[in-house]
Amino acid sequence: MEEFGTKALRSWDIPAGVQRSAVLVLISAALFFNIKMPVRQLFAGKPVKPAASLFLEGATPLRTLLTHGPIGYITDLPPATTADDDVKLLRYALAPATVVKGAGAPIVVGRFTTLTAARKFLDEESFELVRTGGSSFFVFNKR
Amino acid sequence: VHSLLSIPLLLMPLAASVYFMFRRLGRAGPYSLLALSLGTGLGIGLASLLYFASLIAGLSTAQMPIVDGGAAIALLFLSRRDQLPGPCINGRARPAAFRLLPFCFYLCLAGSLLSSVYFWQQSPDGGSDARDIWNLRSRALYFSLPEWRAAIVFDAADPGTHPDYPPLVPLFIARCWRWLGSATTVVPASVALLYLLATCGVLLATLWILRSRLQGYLAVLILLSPGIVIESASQYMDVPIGFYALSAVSLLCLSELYSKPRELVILAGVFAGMAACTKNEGLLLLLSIGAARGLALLTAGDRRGKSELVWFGAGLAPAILFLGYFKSILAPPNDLVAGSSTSQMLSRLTTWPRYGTVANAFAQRFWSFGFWWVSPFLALAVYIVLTRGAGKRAPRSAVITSGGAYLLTLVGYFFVYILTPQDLNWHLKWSLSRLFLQLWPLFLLLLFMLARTPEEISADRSAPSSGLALL
Repeated sequence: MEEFGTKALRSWDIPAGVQRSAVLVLISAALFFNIKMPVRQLFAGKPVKPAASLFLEGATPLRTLLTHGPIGYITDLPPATTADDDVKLLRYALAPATVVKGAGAPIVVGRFTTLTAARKFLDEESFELVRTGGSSFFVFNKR
Repeated sequence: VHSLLSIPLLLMPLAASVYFMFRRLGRAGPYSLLALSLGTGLGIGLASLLYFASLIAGLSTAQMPIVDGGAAIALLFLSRRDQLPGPCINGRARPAAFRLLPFCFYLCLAGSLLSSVYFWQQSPDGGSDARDIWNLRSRALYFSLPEWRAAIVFDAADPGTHPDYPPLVPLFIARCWRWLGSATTVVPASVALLYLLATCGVLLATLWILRSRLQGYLAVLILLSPGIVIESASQYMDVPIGFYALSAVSLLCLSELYSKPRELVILAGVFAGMAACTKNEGLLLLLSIGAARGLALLTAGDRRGKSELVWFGAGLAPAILFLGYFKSILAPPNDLVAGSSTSQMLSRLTTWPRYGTVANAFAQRFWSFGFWWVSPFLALAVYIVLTRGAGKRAPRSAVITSGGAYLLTLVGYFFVYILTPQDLNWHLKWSLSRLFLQLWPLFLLLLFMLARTPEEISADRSAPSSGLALL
C-alpha cells in the first residue's frame, strides 16, 4: 500500500523544539477559544430566553383550541416589522395550521398588550373572544 | 408510563444498528468508538427510512414495531458473519510533552455538552431555521398524521420553508414524538447533540486508526470550536450532513486497510446516501465523494476500482428509493432550479463579476470562519508548515478520496452560487458559513491525515528534525 508523502526532502530543517511548541500552541489556542463560551455560560446563571421562545411558550397552548385551516394573526405590538416573524412563530406553534397576517380568517389569534386593547378590537370588528392564552394571546371567532 | 414503555420500541433500530457495527468492526480500542458513532447515525437514518416506509404503507402506530423488528432482525442476522479483519492498533507511547492533550479533549467535550444544554434551556425549539424549516416539519408530521403527505412538505405555500428539502431528521423526530406521545423539545435537542458527539467519535476513531490516538484527540479539539457547537444547538442540519459525509469518507479511507473492503464500501454508500437524504447539499456531497473515490482508484491503478464503485452504488439504494419517492411525488421543485431557464443559467454563468463576488465571499468566510480571533484555517496552515517532517502518512488513496471530496464539493458550492436565481449577496450572506461548517469535519480529517502526529513530533528528540516531507 502506497503512503502519501513519505519522500523526505532536506531543503530546510525545523527544529524539533519548534515543532513541539507548535503543537502546544495549537492545543492551548483550541482549548482557550473553545472553552471560553461554556465557562462564560457556567457563570452567567440561568439563560435568558429570547423573545421568540417566550412567544412560543405563550402561543403553543392555543393549539388545543384550534382546528386545521387558516388562522389569522393580528397584533397591536410595535414595531410592525416584527409581524412577519410573529406569523412564522405562530405557524410553528400551531403547525400544520396555515397562519396569515390580518383578520381574514374564521379564527384569529390576537396578541395585544392588554385585555382592554383586545376588547377594543372586538368592539370594532365582528369577532367574539373565545379564549385568553398566556398574558397577551387572545383567540377570536368570527361572529 | 406510556413514554417509558415506548422507549425500547423507539430505540430498537438504533440499538440494532449499534450492535451491528460493533459486531462487524470489533470492540478493540478505536473500533468500539467508531462502531458506536457510526451505529448511532446509521440507526437514526434507518429509523427515519422505516418510518417513511410505514407512512407510505399506511401502517398504524401499533403495526410499526413489526417493520422495525423486521429490520432489527435483518441486522442481527447480518451481524452473525465473521468480524471484518481490521488492522491491529498497537498501543502507542504517550509523549510526556503532550500528556495533557486527552485531558484538554475531555474538557472541551464537557464544555460543548454544557453549552448545548445552556442553548437548549435558552431556546428549546432551536434557532430560526430550525423553527421555520426542520422542527416545523416534525411538528406538522406529528400533529397531522392522516395528512402526512402534506405535512412532510409543510409549508408548501411558503418557499422560505424549503419544502423540497429531504426530511430524514424531521421524520426521526416526528417518529420519536409519536412513540413518546408528546412533542417534547428534548428530542430534537438530543438528536442534534447525538450527531455532534457522533461526528467527534468518527473523526477521533478514524484518525486514531489511520494515524495515532493523539492525532485524533487534536483534531476533535479543533473541531469543537464554538461555531459548530452553536450550529448543533441551533438544531440545524449542517452538523448531521457533515457527520454523514465524514462517515462515508472515513469508511472509504479505512477500507484501504482492509483485505476485504466490500462491506465498508457498501456502508460508505449508505452514509453518503443518508447525507443526500438530510439536505439538498447532500446530493453534491454524494457525487463529490463518488467522483473523488473513482479518481483515487484510477490514480492508484487499482483493479478493484470498477467493482468498488458498484458496491458504493449498492449502498446508495435506500437513499435512491427514499429520494426518488420524496422528490418525484411529494416535494415541489427546488427553488434554485425551478426559478431559472437554461438561458438564464447560461447568462449567470457568463456574468464574470459574479465570480469575483463569490470568490471574495469565499475568501472572507475562510478568514472569519469559527469564533477564534484568527481564522482556524490560517492557524492550521501555519501549524502544517511548522510541523512538516518525515513520517508515516495515511494511504495515498485515502488522502485523494478525502481531499478530492472536499475540493469537488467546494467547487460545486461555488458554481451553485454562480447559478443561483436568488440575490447573490443575500444568498452568500445567509448560507456560505454553514456550507463551510458542513465540510469542517471532512477538512480536519484530510488535514490531520497529512499532518505529523504529536507522537512523531515528540519522537524527534534530536534537533534538528530528521527531514521534511513533501506533502
